[in-house]
Amino acid sequence: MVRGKSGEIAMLKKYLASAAIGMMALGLGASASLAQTYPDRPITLVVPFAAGGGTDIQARKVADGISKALGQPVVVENKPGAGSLIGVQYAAQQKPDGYTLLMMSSSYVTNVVLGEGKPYDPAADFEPVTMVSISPTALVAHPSVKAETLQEFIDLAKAEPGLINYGTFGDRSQPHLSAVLFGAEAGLEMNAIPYNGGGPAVTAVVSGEVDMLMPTIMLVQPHVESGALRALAIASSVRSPLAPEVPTFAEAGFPFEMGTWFGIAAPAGTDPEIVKKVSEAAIGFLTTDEMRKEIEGEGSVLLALDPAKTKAFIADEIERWTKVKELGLF
Amino acid sequence: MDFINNLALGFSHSLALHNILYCFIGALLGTAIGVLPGLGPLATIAMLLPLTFSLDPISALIMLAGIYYGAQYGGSTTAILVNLPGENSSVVTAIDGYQMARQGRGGAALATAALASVLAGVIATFFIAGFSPILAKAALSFKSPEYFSLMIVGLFAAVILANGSIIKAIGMVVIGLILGTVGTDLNSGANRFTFGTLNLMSGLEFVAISMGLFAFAEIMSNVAQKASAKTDLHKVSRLWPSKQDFRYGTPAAVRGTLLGSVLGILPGGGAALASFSAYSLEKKVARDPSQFGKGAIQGVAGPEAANNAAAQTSFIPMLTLAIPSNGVMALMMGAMMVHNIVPGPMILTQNAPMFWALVTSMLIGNVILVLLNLPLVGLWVKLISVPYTVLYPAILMFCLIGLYGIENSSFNVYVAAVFGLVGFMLHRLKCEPAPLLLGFILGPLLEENLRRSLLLSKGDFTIFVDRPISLALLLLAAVLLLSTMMPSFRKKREEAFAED
Repeated sequence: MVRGKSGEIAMLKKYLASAAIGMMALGLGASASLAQTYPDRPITLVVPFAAGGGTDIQARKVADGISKALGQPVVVENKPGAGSLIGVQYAAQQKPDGYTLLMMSSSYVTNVVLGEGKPYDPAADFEPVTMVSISPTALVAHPSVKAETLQEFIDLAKAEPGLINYGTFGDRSQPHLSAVLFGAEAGLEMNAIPYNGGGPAVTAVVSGEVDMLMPTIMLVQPHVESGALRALAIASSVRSPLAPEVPTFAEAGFPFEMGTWFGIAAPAGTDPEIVKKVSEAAIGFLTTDEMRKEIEGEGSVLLALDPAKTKAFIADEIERWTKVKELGLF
Repeated sequence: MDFINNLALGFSHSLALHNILYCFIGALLGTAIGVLPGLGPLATIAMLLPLTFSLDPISALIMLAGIYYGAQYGGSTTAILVNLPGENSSVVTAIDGYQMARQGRGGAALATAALASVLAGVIATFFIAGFSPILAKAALSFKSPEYFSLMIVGLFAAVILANGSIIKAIGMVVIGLILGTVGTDLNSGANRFTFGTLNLMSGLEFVAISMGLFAFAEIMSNVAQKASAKTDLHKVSRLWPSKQDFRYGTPAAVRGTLLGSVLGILPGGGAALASFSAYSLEKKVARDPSQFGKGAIQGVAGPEAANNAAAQTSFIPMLTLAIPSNGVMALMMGAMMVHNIVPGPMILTQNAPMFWALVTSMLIGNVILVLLNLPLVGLWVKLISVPYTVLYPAILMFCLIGLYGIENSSFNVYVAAVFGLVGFMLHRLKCEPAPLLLGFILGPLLEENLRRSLLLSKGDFTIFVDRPISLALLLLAAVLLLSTMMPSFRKKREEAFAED
């Protein structure tokens, strides 16, 4: 009896153990198959800006590439407003099932770090998927500015503090951030003149209403080529294929790197297998010769980073801008 | 001779069969989205952009351009028939066009709009071809102080073009200016009147306000006075404008074309400013200004010609200076860059075939549009003989889809609903909503350029009078202001706007 009882218990234990293993296996199988069958319906890529803008154009390209690789439509959903806060917040609230992705750009970090309040946490509310590309900032000046090189520009601005007016795309826009940061590092005193977006700001520097602007090279390349603007330096580690004659800041004697970047993220809690699958699809598409050529043709640098490197990239950005915030520049 | 050679080069590309086809597709799509309220050319071009990546660049640009100027045609259709301006450039068309429709002259109004537009399109095309390089340079002499003074002129003109009492018009402009301040301040990044909601941070949406004030309010007013609305909407006698319509409409269309061609070149000016200015010009030169607001043909022909001309000449700064004057032009520029065509002063030498093909395709597109639209006038007119119990819910539904589609959020639907109530009250109080809308559009530009000028001059107000163009504009504004104070003008104006 005793033996029998213990035997029963042993059997029960064995049964329970195997059931547990079975259940674990089942669980694993379920999760594995979830990632395996992903995607079995259309994916939404949330763009927190209006259709037709820079981020939207990048997003539509990426959506097309992911869609071809994964065999499901990727629908771009524009959720503009509040300088991208509305769209990012919306994406953060979606189910983390891999069927909602977010197109990030630089403002994903700067909006929160330099802004007031904390509408979302850029480090915790999303799983980084892939960094797409970075479009380096250029320093361009109206030809009437008496500076042929970056050093001459710095000397000129130092000689007469407050002389140089630079354009921005509005408060805390990328050109504003670039100019403030460059000015602080070089010890220059310059005036910010805000314009409502890129078009008017470029017009202003071409017409000479402001002396200087720090936009992405793509935006001003035609004017640099025609001689309407003088590009003094480009804020990346290598020269831009769009304007190979323009030196980098480091070459011009003042190391400084800055750019507008684009990347993909998924709401926090998305299955790492799914994140990996999307990332691999995106990287596969981005690293084709055709895409590489297209991205370089826009004056951008291809990044195509995997999830771990993307996470590190975002963390670096957060750290950089937190330091800027602590300096009290904004 | 160069001029002829250039046009010949352009036509050799734009008259190719496949390019005519893309031009037709663009014009047709443009008309369709223009007729649908809410869905504008910007969103449509953005959605179609990826499709054009695989096309030949010339065909792609011809089609995209067709969508843009086609939308200017289509936008006036709803403005005239149901007082629902889909875009800000057709707001003034609604004033007299809708009155004509109520009097059973909807067909004539639509035909006039189409004919005025084609006339403007043809003249503006030659304008682009002949003056592109010269005119592009003129736009650069307009800097912040000049824009500030231009906005002042615009606001004063808004008061004068309003119906009814001047005090009410000033009140409407001021409310518009205040509404324009909602959102994040460009200079400081501070949030103004946002009541802590993210939705208001980028300001109120123009389409939501105009749909509320015009479409929703109009529907409510009509439902409130059922009996009269029914008779008003049914009579549509003739489709073709009368001899008299032609006599008054043609010179108005010519004036509108010239004014629109010039204003279109200014970055930020564009079609809306052109149509508003053309309307006030027509009212100034008319022998009998009392007809305005009651179905004056000049009030349709002038602004319609102006907005179409401006839509086309706004290509000039984009193509020759790489300065997009509005969102659609920025997109077109993006589309060109995708195909490795760099807009700017070099375009005339480096991409001459593309440039001239695009310019000449506009000529072809305008002819296609008029061929497409004149037969459709009958169809559009039939639309208003549909009983309003069916028509109004249908219009409301399209409005709601359009409103939701602006930002893919229901917030704008609520904004439009609130402004619908406001518009209904204004209608009852006999206050015109058009000056409010103009104040809303011009207000932010006025503030921006004022503050920017003062930043550049380090707080010195003489910047506005030291510069000749700015001074001339301010003097013009002063003359407008004085003329409203003169007893003789006031009498004339009161006669003109006397309530019937």
